[in-house]
Amino acid sequence: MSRLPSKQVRRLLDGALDGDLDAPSKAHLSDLLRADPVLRESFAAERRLLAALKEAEQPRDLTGPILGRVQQHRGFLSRSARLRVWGWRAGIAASLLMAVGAVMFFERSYPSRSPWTDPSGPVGDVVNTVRADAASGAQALAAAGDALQGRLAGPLASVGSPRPHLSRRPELPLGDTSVYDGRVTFRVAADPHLPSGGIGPRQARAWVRAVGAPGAEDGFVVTTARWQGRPAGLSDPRALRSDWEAGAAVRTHDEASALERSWWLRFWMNAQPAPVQSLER
Amino acid sequence: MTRTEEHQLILRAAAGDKAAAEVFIRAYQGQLYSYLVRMSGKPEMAEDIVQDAFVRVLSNLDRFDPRFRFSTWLFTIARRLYLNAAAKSKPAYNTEIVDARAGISRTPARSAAVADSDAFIRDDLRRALMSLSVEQREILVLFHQQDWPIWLIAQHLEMPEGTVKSHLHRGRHRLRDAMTAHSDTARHVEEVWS
Repeated sequence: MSRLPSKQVRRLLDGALDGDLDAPSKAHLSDLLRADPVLRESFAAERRLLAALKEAEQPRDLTGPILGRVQQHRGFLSRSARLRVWGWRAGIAASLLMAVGAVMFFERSYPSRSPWTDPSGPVGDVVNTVRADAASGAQALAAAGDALQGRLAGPLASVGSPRPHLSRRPELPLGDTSVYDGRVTFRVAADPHLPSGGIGPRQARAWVRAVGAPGAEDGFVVTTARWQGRPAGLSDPRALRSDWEAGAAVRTHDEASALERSWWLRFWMNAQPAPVQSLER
Repeated sequence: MTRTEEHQLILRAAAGDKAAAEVFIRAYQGQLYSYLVRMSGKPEMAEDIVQDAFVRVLSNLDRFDPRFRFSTWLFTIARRLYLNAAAKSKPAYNTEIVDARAGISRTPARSAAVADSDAFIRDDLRRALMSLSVEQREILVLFHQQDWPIWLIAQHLEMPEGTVKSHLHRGRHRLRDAMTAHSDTARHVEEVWS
C-alpha cells in the first residue's frame, strides 16, 4: 500500500469495487493486477477491508421487546379502531365540559338551590368561610389604607392650601353650606316639603353663590329640572335662589358658551346666604 | 421477500396481525442492527434505535407508501433516529482528528496483547469508519454492507447518483488511509516497545 496507484488505475479499481466495469476494462485491470504484485496485494487488502464491514455482530432477538412496545402503543389497532378510540376520548372530554357548564349555569340561575351556596351544607360552610375571610381581608386592607391616608393628610393639610377644601359629594343635603366644585352635577337630597308649624308645607329653597372664581361675576347658569338661568333683579348677581325638588339635578355652566365651567360654589339650603365679603376663599 | 408478499404482510400487520409484524422484525432486525452498529460504533445505541425504529414503523403501518420498499422506509426512520441520537450525544471534540490519533495513546501492553486478535481489527475498522463524515460512512455501509444499489442509496439520501458515487470513492479512500495510519502507528509502537 506504500505505492500510490495512478489516477487511471485508481479509477479502474473504484470501478471494479463499484461493480461498474465493462468487459474490456475488467480485462485491462486483470492484466495490471497480474503484472504488479504490490497493486494486487493492495487491491486484495482493500477488498478484505470492505468485506469486513459485513462482519458485524448480530443482536439478541428483539422481537419480544419490540412487539411488547408496539402493543403498548396500540399499534396493532386498525386505523378505524384507532379513530374510534380518539372519538371516545373526545366524547368523554366534551361530556365533562358540558357537565361543568351545566353546573355553572345552574349555580348562576338558581343560587338559592345550589348545593354549593347552601349554608347548612358542608360545601356551603366552606364557601361561606372563604367569603367571610375574603371580606374581612378586604376590610382590613381598606382600614390600613384609610389610616395611611389620615397620617398623610394631617401633615399635608398643615402646610396650608390657598384653595378651600372642595367637596365633591354629588348630593345637596338640607342646610349644607359647603363649598363645592362647580363641575359636579348635584342631586338634591333634601325633601322639598318641610313642616312649617301647621301653616302647611313650605317649598325648600336654596341659594347658590359663586366663590372667588375668576369671571364669576359674569354670571353662571344653574340648571334644574324646572328652571335654567340667572334670575334678574337680585341684588347680588352671584347669588341664585331657586326652588328645589328632591332628586333634581343641579348643574352649573358658563352662561355665554353653555359649556360646563369650574366654579367654586357655596350652597345654602333653606338659609339666607352670607354677605359676599365674608365668604371664605 | 417479493414486493407482493411484503405488501400482503403489511396489510395483515396493519390490521393487527402480530405474526405478520413478527415476520418483518425477524427479517430486518439483523440488517438494521449491523447498519446502525457501523454507523454509530456503539452496539447499545444500535440496539435501542433498532427497537425504536420498529416500534415507530409498526405503529404507523397505515401511513406506509406502497411505492417504496418496507426496508427503505425502516432504514429512513432508523437513520433519522440515529442522527437525532448522535446530535444529542455529540462529543465536544473533533472526532475525526482525535480518533485518527487515538492509536498513539494505547498502552504497549494492551497493543501487544490484542495486536493479532479480531477484536483489535474490528476496533481499528470502527475507528476508521468513525473518522469518515456521516454521508461517507452511511454510503459506504449501505453499499458494501447492505448491498444497496447506487440508485436506491441516492433515493434514500435524496441526493444525485453522481454525488453518491463521489462520496463512496472519497469514503473508501479515507477509510484506506485511516486503516493504514492505524496499522503504521501500531507497528511503530510495537517496534519501540519490543
